[in-house]
Amino acid sequence: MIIIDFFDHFMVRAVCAGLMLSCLCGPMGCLVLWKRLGFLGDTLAHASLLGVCIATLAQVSTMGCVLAVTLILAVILAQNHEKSTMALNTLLAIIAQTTLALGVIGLSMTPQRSNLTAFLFGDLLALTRMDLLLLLILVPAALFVLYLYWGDLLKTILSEDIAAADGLNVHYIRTLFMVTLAMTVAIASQLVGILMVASLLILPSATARILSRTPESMAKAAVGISMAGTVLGLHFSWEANVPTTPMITLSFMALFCVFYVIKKVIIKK
Amino acid sequence: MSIPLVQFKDVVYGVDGRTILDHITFDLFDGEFVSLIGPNGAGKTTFLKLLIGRIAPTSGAITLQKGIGIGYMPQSIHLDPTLPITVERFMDLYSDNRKEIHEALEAVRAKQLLNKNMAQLSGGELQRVLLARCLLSASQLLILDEPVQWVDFLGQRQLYELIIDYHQNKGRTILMVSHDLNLVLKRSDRVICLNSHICCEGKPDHVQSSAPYQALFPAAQDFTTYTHHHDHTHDHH
Repeated sequence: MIIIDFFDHFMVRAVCAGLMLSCLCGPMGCLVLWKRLGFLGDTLAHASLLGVCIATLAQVSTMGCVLAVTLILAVILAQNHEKSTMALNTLLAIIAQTTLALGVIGLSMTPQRSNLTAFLFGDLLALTRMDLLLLLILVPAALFVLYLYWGDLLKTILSEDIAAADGLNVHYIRTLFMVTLAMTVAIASQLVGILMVASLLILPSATARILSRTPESMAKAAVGISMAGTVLGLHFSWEANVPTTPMITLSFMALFCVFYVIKKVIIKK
Repeated sequence: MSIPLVQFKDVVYGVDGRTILDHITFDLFDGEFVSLIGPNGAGKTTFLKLLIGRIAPTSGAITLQKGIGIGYMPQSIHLDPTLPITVERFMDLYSDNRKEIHEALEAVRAKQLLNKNMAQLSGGELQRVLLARCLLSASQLLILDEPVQWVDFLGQRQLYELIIDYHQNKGRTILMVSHDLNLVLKRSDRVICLNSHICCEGKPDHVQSSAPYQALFPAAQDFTTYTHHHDHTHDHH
């Protein structure tokens, strides 16, 4: 019975989207953690509301506009990252709050104003076939980029100086990372909501850290945990009839606690 | 004379209107062992970062011989506790050759660290691993930024001997920032004393007896064992 309920039509779409998103957010979340750029993910997510607002006002594709805003912001940040005299996190906080405020005010002037909650907290259950198709293209593309540049990304995380001496174009790698992150955040913010992007990026990776000894195993574990948390969250939100994405976040948290306790117990032995 | 491996032509580097390096002209030739000394904030690390192409000069030109491999050892690396990486996997990022990795770690006496997490290494252990990493690639030019800091006294001598061995027996060209004014300085082919500009350069004896050197390191003479050859005045201009 439960199984039949579970594979009800929009649930199938939600599960598929959630699993695909997990594949991308696992490794991306790890990179964000390692680079200590959790704030950047948040900033890009907040800026995506500005994209929604512009799309509504200009009556163009929401996804396209969100992608454009996050990508432009990512490129600007990558360009000025080193020149800025202000600490990066301070700058990011200013941009995040400003774009969020602009987005909320802009949206309040459009018919979309009643949908603000959906933008902030997402609506995985309202996915369309188009969204799925987009995921089917963008996720493998982003994963392919990560696969190609994984070693270079790790090298630049460990030491940009060694990477440069090795002949890597550090600036290019950084821009590539920022652009991939912007794309990930743009997709994720539309599916799980602006305020939940950070949870999707950070929580599974943090849990995976407990279990891993190498960067690669951590990225894979993050994908697995993200998938498990997404399915659990969808299931319980369906059973209890509560909002989906907060339930996914709580599932991530539950998984974190479980693995943390297991690790502590094993170490004590 | 042959073409230099590295050539700085009137290089100036400044940030926010503050000049860090001022009109540096410098050649590094194949097979040389050059020591770079200078007080804190003299621009030594900046000098190295210009050389490896990490930053671009404000004016002037830096030319590297084509196809030259550089083994760079920074003062430290970014090790976030959230990044799980063993010494072996770290070395593996820079070389596909397992045997070479083991040999390099053996050379710096750090083979027992192979399966240790990088974030758990002590300061001295990390220095050894970083030195091993830079010995990995068949780089012709080794650029070492204070390679023995945090290393215990006995270890310092071992690592210096190892670096000198790579110079003398393996023909590597070495440019090293060092605070050791005794052992290393005397073994160098050439010493460059940097304090935003190059204040003196030449053979170790020559530099140590020059006025700018003695103005920068007045206490050094109490510790070093070199002998005075000529008289000079302590002229600070």
